[in-house]
Amino acid sequence: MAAVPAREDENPSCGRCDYGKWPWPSLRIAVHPPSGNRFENLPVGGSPRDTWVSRTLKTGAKPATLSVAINGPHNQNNETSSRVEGDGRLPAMSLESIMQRLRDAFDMLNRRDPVIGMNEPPAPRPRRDDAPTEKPDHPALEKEGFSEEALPWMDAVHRFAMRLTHSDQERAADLVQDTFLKAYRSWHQFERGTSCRSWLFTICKNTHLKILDEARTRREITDADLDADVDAMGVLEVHEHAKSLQLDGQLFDSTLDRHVVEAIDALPDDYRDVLVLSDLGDLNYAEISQVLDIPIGTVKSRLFRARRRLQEQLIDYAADVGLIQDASA
Amino acid sequence: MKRDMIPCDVVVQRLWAFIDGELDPVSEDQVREHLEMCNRCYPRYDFQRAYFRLMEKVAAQPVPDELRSRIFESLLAETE
Repeated sequence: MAAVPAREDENPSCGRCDYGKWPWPSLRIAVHPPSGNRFENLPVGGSPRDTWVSRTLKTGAKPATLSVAINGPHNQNNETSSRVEGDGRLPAMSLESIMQRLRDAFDMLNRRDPVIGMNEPPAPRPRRDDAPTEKPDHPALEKEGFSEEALPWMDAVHRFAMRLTHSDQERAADLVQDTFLKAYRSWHQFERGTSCRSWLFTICKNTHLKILDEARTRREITDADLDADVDAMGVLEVHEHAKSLQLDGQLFDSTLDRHVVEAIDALPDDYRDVLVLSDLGDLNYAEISQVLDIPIGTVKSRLFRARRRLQEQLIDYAADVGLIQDASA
Repeated sequence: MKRDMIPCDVVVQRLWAFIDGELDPVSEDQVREHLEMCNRCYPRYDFQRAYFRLMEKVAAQPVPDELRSRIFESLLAETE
């Protein structure tokens, strides 16, 4: 079918993508008289059968071919054609064929599974904002609310501590224990209604920093050139890198947990802290800003850089374990 | 009502914040509408979603039972 000029006033256009030439889903009816083409773009939801029959009859030219297509994204379509008989009407078989193709096309669009592989609608990731709901399997502690509000976050604090200590299990265990002891002793200072998880992370981080100050081993970075908008472009760079190695479709699904842990442990401490609190701890930017006592802009920059470094590292791991060769085989 | 789509570079710049749920409602809708239409940006989103699925898996590691018991015992000792 010949290309149909886009109607800029109605069709959203991406500009850079060469996308959105057509609104989708939409119904496209094309009637092909003996010379020249005539097209109609109609929104989905009307009565295709009535519409195309009336359009056919109005052409007055015979014989002709009539095409019906469902437009998907990027001119993807599901199209069928039939030659119009001498009297300008379509044979019954063609009518049924066209309607079946239309039904198939609607089904396809409803599954949101077109050519680009959109298996799920885009949405923010779910966050675990609430404490785990399982009840503690031990008697309640004396201080009111501590068992219910603080103890359920022990898994999350432990994960944070493991990353803070670069997977040193003994140091991490001591850190978690110190964190909960300090929290218990100062439970009266916890402001009810605020995030207990953030409060525990703050205690954990401060306890860790105090130990590090004594040991002076922290790997810090400079924030001098941080720019969240620039650092956000890491999304593009890391994906292009993965694509160039044919890894974009399988990289993270094939990555071992221990490779992730090793890669996180290899990050500079300031990047690692933000990434762990966000991507493993599910804190939002404002909460991370509070826990680490840094501006939100710095949180974003460090987080985006950390994700980029981590993902680049995972690409390197994939190369090491042969995923790249498998992908290109 | 149809609106002008924001360009791909703006979507890329906002993609992590979109996935993190940190955009204002208007910006979030703009990014979502673009992703539904764009065959270049949706794979970038899909790639990052796979990353977060992996991180969810990593984050599912529980505290070892011995440590949990040790911490609880130390809290009980504080109480006594």
